[in-house]
Amino acid sequence: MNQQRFIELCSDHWKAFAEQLEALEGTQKKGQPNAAAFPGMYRRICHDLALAKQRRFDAHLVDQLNNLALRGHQILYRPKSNALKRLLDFCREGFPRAVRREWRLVVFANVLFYGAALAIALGIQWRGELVYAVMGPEQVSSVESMYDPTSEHHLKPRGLSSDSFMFGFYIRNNMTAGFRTFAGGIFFGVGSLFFLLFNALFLGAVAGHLSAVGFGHTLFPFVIGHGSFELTALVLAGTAGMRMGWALLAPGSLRLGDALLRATKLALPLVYGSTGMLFIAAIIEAYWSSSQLLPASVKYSVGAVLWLFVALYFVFAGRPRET
Amino acid sequence: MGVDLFGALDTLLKIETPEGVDLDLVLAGPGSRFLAWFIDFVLRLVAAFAISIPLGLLGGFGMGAFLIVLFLLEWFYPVLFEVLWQGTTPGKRLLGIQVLTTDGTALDWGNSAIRNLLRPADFFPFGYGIGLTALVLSPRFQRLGDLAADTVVVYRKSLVAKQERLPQVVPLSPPVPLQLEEQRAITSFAQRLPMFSKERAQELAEVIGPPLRNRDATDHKQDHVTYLCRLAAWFHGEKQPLRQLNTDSAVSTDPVPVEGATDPVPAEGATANSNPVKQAPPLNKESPRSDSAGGPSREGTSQGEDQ
Repeated sequence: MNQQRFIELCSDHWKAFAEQLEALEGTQKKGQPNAAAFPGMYRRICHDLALAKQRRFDAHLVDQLNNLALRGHQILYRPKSNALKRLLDFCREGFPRAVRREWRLVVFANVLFYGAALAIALGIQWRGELVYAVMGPEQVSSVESMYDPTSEHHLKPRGLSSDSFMFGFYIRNNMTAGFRTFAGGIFFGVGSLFFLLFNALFLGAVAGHLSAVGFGHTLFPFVIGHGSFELTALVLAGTAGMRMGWALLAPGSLRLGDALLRATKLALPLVYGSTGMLFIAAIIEAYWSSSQLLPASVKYSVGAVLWLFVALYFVFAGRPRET
Repeated sequence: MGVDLFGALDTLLKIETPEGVDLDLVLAGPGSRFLAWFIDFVLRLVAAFAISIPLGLLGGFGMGAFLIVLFLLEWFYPVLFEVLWQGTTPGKRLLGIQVLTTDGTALDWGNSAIRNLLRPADFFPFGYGIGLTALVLSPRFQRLGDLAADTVVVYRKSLVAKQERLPQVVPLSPPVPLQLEEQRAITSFAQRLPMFSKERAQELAEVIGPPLRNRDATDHKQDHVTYLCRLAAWFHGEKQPLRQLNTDSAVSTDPVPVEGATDPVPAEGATANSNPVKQAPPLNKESPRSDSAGGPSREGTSQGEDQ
């Protein structure tokens, strides 16, 4: 058939299909009238497009059909979503399973992080000036003043509005740090490694130095509450980044691009979970940790409980029940 | 099959669908992507500034909320728009581009999250240096975030060519059967005729005109350009009333000469080279090479239009 005849025969169907597309594009709901007829109509459009291309009909005709087919393709293959259920499933089992699946990298990242932090903290106990290898003197004194129990900023408690400001600050600061740690992993894992080590050394130096000058009893009740969530989240973000980088270093039997895609799919749950944990950590850090109404013993015990909870969550949550 | 005319274009993305047809998309290059990013950047700046004013009045709560808003604007503005607004942010919509997965489907949360979480990596060391390098070097204009998330950025209403009109002439069947590419070449020539100067059109027509006319036993007293336009009209297959087969046989030439372009006399049939297939009814033209294999005489109309 020639082009004129083709257009005569088919243009009604194209109009109907375009109308169907308008109806379906406006909404995500299923159960539209004639949605059952849609796949058949779409297949016919694809057939018409193939015919028009093969017969070398005019470019504008082929393009119109191409656009119709593209819109149909996007409607037919659009992703399903049931957000709340997916969120709950993720918290209950998706996240801990994803972490357990990458357990080797998780262990490596933890050993690296806590090992480095402990090393420098102990090193500072032995040789106090080691702290200046990690941060400059202005930073040391500002940290000291933050945790000095006799400083005036400890003598008047923070109000709720100031807590909320700190909440916003922690959200922005910590989550950005987590995302950057993850993103660094694309450079063969080196970026994530670097961020993890840097944070470990910094935090370890702060802890070591403050203990050495005797401010430990101000620092530790403060950090023990949110530390379980925040530190674990940071380590997991680093793990996710290193998983991405590892795919580039050792793609196995896959092509490099395919290995990367597979790795990001495996690493993404860790990033989601890490972000959630940082959110919780920010709440704790802003509203609980710095509260001066509670004695240190309460804070220590609550902190210990939270650490235990985190450990048990990752070890046991989401495991299939023995029947 | 045949020559893929688009094969030479770098920026065309062909998507194979499960239905067996290829969908064509045009990839968006660094220029439009940068402009879209810049517009989004300015929009975010303006939004941050605008929201800082009411929040500034709320004291500590306000400032904390403002920091959260800044964080969300930086990391989630693109994700939210890309997932909920057919792969476009306001900046991208202004530039007419959108984000899709490499198999042509819309983004879901995971894809959009990955491609936007890797922005700091693309931004390294400054000004999206790594990202631009990756974009320019990759075959599908993908930066690192796109490579990791399996996404591409394409133009939205891509490739809608303008409808070209054919000159209005009496259709004439070609003296020899022509292949599809050759038919397309002649049709394209006729469609683009307004773009050429007279001399240029003559020059082009002299490339293919003489060899064809040498095989045409009838002497049409027209210049090459009009001759080619008549062939193009024939290939295009304008609406013509079905005419019963006239007296021409398979091998004789039609004795009726054609005078001018608007002559309502029926166009000639083919010459000795035609095969007997042309005696079949004119509307059944299924085989690819029979479109041009002459055919029975037709009443010429002066239609030259599509549709």
